[in-house]
Amino acid sequence: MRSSVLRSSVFAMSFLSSDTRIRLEARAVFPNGYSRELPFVSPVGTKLTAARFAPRITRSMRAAAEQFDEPLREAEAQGSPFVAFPELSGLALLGLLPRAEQVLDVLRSGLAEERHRADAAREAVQITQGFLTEVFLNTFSVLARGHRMLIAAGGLYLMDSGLLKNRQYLFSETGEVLAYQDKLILSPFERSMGVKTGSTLACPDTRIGRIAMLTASCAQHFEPFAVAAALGARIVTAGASPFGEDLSPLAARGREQSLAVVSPSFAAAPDFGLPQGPAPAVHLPQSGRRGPAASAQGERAATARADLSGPPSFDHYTADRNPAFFESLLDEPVGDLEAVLGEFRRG
Amino acid sequence: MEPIRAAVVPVDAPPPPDTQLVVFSDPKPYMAEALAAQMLSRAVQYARRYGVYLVPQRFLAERSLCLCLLSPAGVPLGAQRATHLNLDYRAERLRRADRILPFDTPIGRVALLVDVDLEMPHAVRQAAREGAQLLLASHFLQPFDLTAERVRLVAAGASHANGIPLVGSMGGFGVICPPQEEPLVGSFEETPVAAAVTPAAAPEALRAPMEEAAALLRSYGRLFTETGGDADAQ
Repeated sequence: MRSSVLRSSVFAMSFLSSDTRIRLEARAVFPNGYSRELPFVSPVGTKLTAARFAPRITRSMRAAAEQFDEPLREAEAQGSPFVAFPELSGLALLGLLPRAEQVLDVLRSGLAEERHRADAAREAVQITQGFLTEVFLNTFSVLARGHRMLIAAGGLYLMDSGLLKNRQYLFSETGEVLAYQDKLILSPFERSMGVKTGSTLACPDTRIGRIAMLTASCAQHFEPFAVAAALGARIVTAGASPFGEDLSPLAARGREQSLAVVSPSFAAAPDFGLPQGPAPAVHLPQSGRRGPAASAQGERAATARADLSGPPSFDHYTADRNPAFFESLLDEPVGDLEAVLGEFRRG
Repeated sequence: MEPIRAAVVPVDAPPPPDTQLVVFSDPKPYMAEALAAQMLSRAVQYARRYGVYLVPQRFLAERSLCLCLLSPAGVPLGAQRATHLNLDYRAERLRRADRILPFDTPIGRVALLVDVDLEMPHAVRQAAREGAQLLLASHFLQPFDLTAERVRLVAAGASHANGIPLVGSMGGFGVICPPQEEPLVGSFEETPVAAAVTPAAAPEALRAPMEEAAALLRSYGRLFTETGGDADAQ
């Protein structure tokens, strides 16, 4: 990979940025002050918002913050205390780098060839991680504090203990990172990039209930949703990704486990070569419908009201628990994970 | 595998011409143990008369809710006990099996999903992991719980998530769902529900993610083996 282009761009931006400057620029999206009161959360109807995020090449940190702020403003107007962004939303900050078009071309060509993809991905992440993480975390911290919202902000790729991870973050209304979640089920492209899965599911308690951050790649699998429900989650996020997974099973997953599923998406992003994603959606367990329950569709967000006050919705037909069945399920001789994923793991 | 022409019809109703596989749609909860032998005898006659593979009504055997598959010669090819029960049956203290066991037949490797097992994603996933190529289901639902939307949601959830075709009955509805298509759902008011399906195991592309998902479940195994995943009980 022509990493010198990437390296010089990142170096220039890193030189110009600092925590203080990033936070100052992000605070500029609140021209009327930064002292919004914590919004009231009704015990009988919590609003949940799925963002339709439109990443683009930006020329300033303020503009970069504004692209994340658009769905948040719509959510605030709807009175929603919670907004979810799609996974890898933080990669939009690559558009902040000098000569961003060239940088994106370099990244695309580096990742195009499967044989060298893992090396190219690792190198690119090592170069960009410090800058991207610093801007991403500080920007969302300020936005969460400014809007007084819980934000499942999506995330970015990073190296952790020598392993490449796809990590998502949850920010509290006071701007702290409440939890992070490494992607549990990877897309084939990510496996070829050498990304490693997370092994645990974070399920932090918030004032609207426990929240788990999943991904579109989980939609076909009951396991992450069942674990989230067993850990007490009432809300999960699972949104569109650049890898084009099928989101249609999400309504069924939410109904099976009595979970509200917030499914953010991407708007078309020609700068990043992203086509228009599916419509953002909120699936409510009690609706029993295949379609989303989002009641307010805006340009940049879809919001729905969920009643999370009582116990999870009860169904006469699916309430039975059979621990002995799970014993047999977990004891069964399953395929060796290392054997199945061996070539990717070695990469 | 070759496509097979499947139909879901009311009990004892003749299938459409050239049908190879029939699932009976039974609006009653189950056939009592004392009447099960008589019911199965009639089912054998039906299978022979029309030359079809047949999934007859749900029935009780040794206090277990069961489903079976008969060959066109009327020979039982396999049977399955329910692994989960609705709360009425739990109150009746019916017994539960601990495993879905698919079996090989001339029309592919079949998993029978008895009653609410169709709504249990872990039961369907176990069938998929055991190599099932065709899901055959028969599920009782009270009329006031039965909607076409629920039938579609459950059928698509089971079939699409595992990439395996489904033929089944839910309450008064029949449903046939190929893995990547919208479920065909009907209530027999005018015609039986009939379509061709091609038996196929979970696709290779699902194998690696299925292993990752199973690894996650295994790492939280005690949440499920102690309480079945009930958050309130933990």
